[in-house]
Amino acid sequence: MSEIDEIICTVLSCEENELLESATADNIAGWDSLTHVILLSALEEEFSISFSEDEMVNNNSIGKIRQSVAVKSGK
Amino acid sequence: MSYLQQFVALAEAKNQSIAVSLKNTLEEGGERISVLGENILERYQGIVDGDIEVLVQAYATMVMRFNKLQLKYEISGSYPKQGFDQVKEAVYDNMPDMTSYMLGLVCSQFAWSNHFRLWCFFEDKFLNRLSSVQNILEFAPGHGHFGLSTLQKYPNAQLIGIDISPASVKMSTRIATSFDHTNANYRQQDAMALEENYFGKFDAVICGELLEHVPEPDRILASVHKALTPGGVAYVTAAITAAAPDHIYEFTTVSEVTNMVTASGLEIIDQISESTRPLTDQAKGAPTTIAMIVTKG
Repeated sequence: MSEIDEIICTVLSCEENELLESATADNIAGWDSLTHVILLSALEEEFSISFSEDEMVNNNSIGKIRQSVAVKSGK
Repeated sequence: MSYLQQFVALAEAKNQSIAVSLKNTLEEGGERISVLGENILERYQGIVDGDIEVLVQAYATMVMRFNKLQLKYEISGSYPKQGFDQVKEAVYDNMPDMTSYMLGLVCSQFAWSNHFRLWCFFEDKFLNRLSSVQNILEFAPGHGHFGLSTLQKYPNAQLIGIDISPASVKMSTRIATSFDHTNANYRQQDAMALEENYFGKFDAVICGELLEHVPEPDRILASVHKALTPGGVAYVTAAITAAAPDHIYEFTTVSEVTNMVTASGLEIIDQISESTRPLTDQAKGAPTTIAMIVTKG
């Protein structure tokens, strides 16, 4: 499992097989507006990146979060 | 489609995590929260030329900002070190940012279950008590929803709102005008330095979401006391262990607030505390708001 996915699974209390590119808070039970911010903040810290408030709103699926972290961190 | 249905649909399209929490709150609140949501959206869509999307964006941005600040606060153990003048310049005097903030905050009245329950307390325990109210003073009306709702129920009363933010004064004035509340008058003034001609003139005072925004909340409470007529009643709230871009004074317990209120000479006749879950295990306490009905004791 990638480092990003490990963090996602830990924060959202979900399994790796739930992390479809298209998955959103509608598909993952532990994902609400509080855990969304906890997740993005954990990724910011781990990858030394930062998200604006608009980016936090727009990063609304697993695919978008993975892509956003990859672009910002270069990993 | 109702305004509220539009709001939910747009929130779902924007960010599901926000929509999930919103839908849970609406389900919990039943018919009463739907009525509140519809009333608020009908009132505030006028500020954004009918574009509900702008309200959803303002709300979503505010949720991210608040949660991120709360997370930092719970980890660091203190609110950001900032003085009132810094906050005034960065937030209250920043017209676009303050407008968006207030639009987001007013939507939280129906989107956050704790804010909805506080609204119910305001309506049941404060508004219903004001049977013959004539003069209302609202400190820091912000979006203006509480004062304007009071006028909606008591259309023969006169309301003065004083707020240090020009954006708030503009917003409240525009809404009051659009709803023909000619008896609402908003002024850019500092609640900590209440003018003498306000002393003992108001049989109702609204002081919501203000105490934690100033370095010396006891001075605000003194202003509430001075403004009330004998027998007058006030609605006062305070945020406890809850971070926000403009929270300066950190209350850490409910008793800290109630002790300060009673020390100011006000008598608490009813109160409610509403909390949300903290984001971390390190939190000093759950983010909480206490709302009180007070009289001049």
